[in-house]
Amino acid sequence: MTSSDTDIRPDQTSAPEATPLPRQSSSTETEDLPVISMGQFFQRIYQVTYSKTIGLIIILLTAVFVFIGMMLQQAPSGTWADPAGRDQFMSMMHAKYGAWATLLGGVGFFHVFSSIPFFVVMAALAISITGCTSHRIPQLWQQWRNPRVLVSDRFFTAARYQASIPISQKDDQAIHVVQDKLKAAHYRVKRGNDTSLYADKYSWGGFGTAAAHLSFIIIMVAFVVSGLTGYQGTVNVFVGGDAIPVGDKTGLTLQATDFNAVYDDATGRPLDYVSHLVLKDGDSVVAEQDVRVNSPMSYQGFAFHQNNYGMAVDVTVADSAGNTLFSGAVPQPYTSQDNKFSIGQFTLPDLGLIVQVLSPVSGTTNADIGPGQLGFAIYRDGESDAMATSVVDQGTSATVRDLSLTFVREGQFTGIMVRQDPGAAWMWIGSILLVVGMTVTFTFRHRRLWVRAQDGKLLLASADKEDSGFREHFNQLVSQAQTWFSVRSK
Amino acid sequence: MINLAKFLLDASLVFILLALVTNLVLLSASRRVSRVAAAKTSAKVAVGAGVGGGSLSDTTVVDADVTDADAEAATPPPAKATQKATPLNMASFGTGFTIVGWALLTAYIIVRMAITGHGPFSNMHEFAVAFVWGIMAAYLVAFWKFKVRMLSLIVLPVAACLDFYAISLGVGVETLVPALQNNVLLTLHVGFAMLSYGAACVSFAAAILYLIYPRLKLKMSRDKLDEIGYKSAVVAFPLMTIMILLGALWAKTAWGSYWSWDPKESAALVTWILYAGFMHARVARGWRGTRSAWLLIIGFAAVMVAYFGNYFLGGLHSYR
Ligand code: HEM
Repeated sequence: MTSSDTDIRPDQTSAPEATPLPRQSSSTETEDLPVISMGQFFQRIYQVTYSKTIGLIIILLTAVFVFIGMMLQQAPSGTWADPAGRDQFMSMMHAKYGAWATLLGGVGFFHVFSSIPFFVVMAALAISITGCTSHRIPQLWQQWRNPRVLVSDRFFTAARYQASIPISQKDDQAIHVVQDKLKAAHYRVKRGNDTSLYADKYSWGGFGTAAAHLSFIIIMVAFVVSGLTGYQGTVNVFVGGDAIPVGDKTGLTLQATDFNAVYDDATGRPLDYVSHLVLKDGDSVVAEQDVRVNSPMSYQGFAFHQNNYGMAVDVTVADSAGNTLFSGAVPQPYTSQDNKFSIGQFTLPDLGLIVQVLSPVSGTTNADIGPGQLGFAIYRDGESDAMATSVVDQGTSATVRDLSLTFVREGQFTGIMVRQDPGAAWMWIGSILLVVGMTVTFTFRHRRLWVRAQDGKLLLASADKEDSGFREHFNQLVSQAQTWFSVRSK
Repeated sequence: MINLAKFLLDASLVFILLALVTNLVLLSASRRVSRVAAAKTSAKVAVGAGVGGGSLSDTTVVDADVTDADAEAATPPPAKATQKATPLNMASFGTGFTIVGWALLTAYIIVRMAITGHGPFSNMHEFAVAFVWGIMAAYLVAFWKFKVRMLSLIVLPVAACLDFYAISLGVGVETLVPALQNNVLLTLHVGFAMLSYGAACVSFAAAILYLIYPRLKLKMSRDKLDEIGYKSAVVAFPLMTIMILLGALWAKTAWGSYWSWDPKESAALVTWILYAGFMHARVARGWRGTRSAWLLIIGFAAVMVAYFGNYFLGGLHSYR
């Protein structure tokens, strides 16, 4: 609800005003600084967290950051953390923005959503929302359980909505009538004394706002949980190939037994693509199904999404002891500068090596790598000259520097995005709460009414925010009240 | 078949323009009328307000804003009598044309959905049509509730431009890329977007009218425009929230992650935060009136950026 208590200040006597903090003398201090106790200190900090102005500034600041992230091209996720990737991205940005790029990059505008200032603003937002909500809840509770029933005389002449009706009954009788009528109209009625009452509707409506704010905290927490504890990776599975491990430590393996893509005849655009996947946990098959773009496969919090597909080479790498270091489909999305080779690559992180696999572009002939052959080039991470190269026929292996490289076959791969997202459930809980909370807030506004019978008149007043709907309701109520007391013009 | 449907769309533009012209004539006529009636009316109000104590009737309902004589509903008798002659009949035409324009759009969308087999979310043409539909729907609801015809002078030109834009894009039907094939979620996503953006357009119209109010010499109170702006935003905001969440849900099923800071996602988020800012400026700083109106205008500008964003922002939503 939006009404604030300041509107009904006229009644000073019953207002539980915040008692001013006791002032302490500073005479004993050498410095002339006001002395504040620990409690006051935290009180001040708390005041900052629930300051609505600061809250508003933080909200607008958030908008500014998101706006920057929208307007400027952002480095693809992970690029910024990797120095080589960052350099490459920055050179692109230099081409685009010239000298400004250095400045924009320096303040983190090319990776806004993982930049420290953004995290700081989001943290401030979370703190502010928490402060506002925890500050508001006792007030809401008060208005719900223990609303102010009595108001001052002046209130009836100063309030935003006010009316006075002549009555012929005695004051207490009149109030009784009003009480019954308002109750019948689904008002909650509380008697102040014999001649006055307080009535309201939707006194719980304000909790919708509290729920909406709380839900936003839940969503933010879900975001953090997803970011910190989730798993995200892409596995390229060779169609019809062996099962390959999912990540390092999951114990899961994934196999694609079949793949189909359907194209639109006219445009050649893909209409549908489907992989038949088999998931094993250890030795047992735990899931098997067709996976297409909008129907992922799930298992124990892991979701397997169809991501992309294409041609790839199936390779394995083993060390001299026979341990498999790599096994899987390697797509070849790049082309060499002379347009002779299709190139793909994978890393052997434990050895700090990058392995490139090169196939001749179909239709070209060249002396280095023949049709049906695959070239391997091994690089040390960060170096640009290959430390070793080798050309291998399909179905055979070569040994290079203690590594056994096998070119198993060539064919189709399907790219499967694997996500494990422990925050997702909270994300949806928060979302539902957000929508419900907001709807409650906007639909069930707290409506309050104070009524008093005095000197042959019935006084009605409300201090709620100006609203044509409520004004109409108030006016209607007033004309109804006239009929209750049947005061036709004398 | 689609060409037949195109006729519906063309006709909708005609009716929107007809409604606009009718309302223009009507409003300028009633302004002239009200200026004539103004002298009498103001005299009457002065009497009513001056007495206050209750000699006119025993019951006094004191409105805090005495000037807030409800715009068209509470027009005092003399003016009404004069209006009857011309503008009042035209009023039903103005409203009628608007409803027909909206109904034609509805029919076009239904026929098109029957042909394509999916909701209006596959290209800019379909978005534009849905957007116009949302704007018209929101305006009609606002008109029914607040009876402020003046809003149409801002809303209908926006609707007409978008409708024209939609027609200029052509009505061709394309096949869907797999990511777009999850019909129900996407249809809902776009549906909520359009209702929300439509409400945002109405709040934008109210904000503009609020700002130029001093030049308009309207019968209605300025505060009412402020209220319409706020209430429309209050409708737009939860709808926008649901739209964003449905989008996230769809992204989760299609791409595996519910949020990827795609520019179009960011644009929707900026818009959402701006409307949140608008509401908090109101509750926190008591911002009303002019500043509040500017925030609504910025908010709707953000809606337009979010809407046309795929032309210049790139990213996952970059279909044309
Ligand atoms: C982006 C995050 C936020 C969302 C989605 C949000 C949502 C809302 C909504 C929907 C309302 C109801 C507005 C109305 O009745 O017109 C509201 C009111 C309010 N918000 Fe927020 N809010 C957010 C952040 C904050 C922050 C950071 C503060 C702290 C300063 C805050 C303080 C308030 C207060 C004090 C009210 C009025 C509550 C009342 O009258 O009961 N909000 N908020």
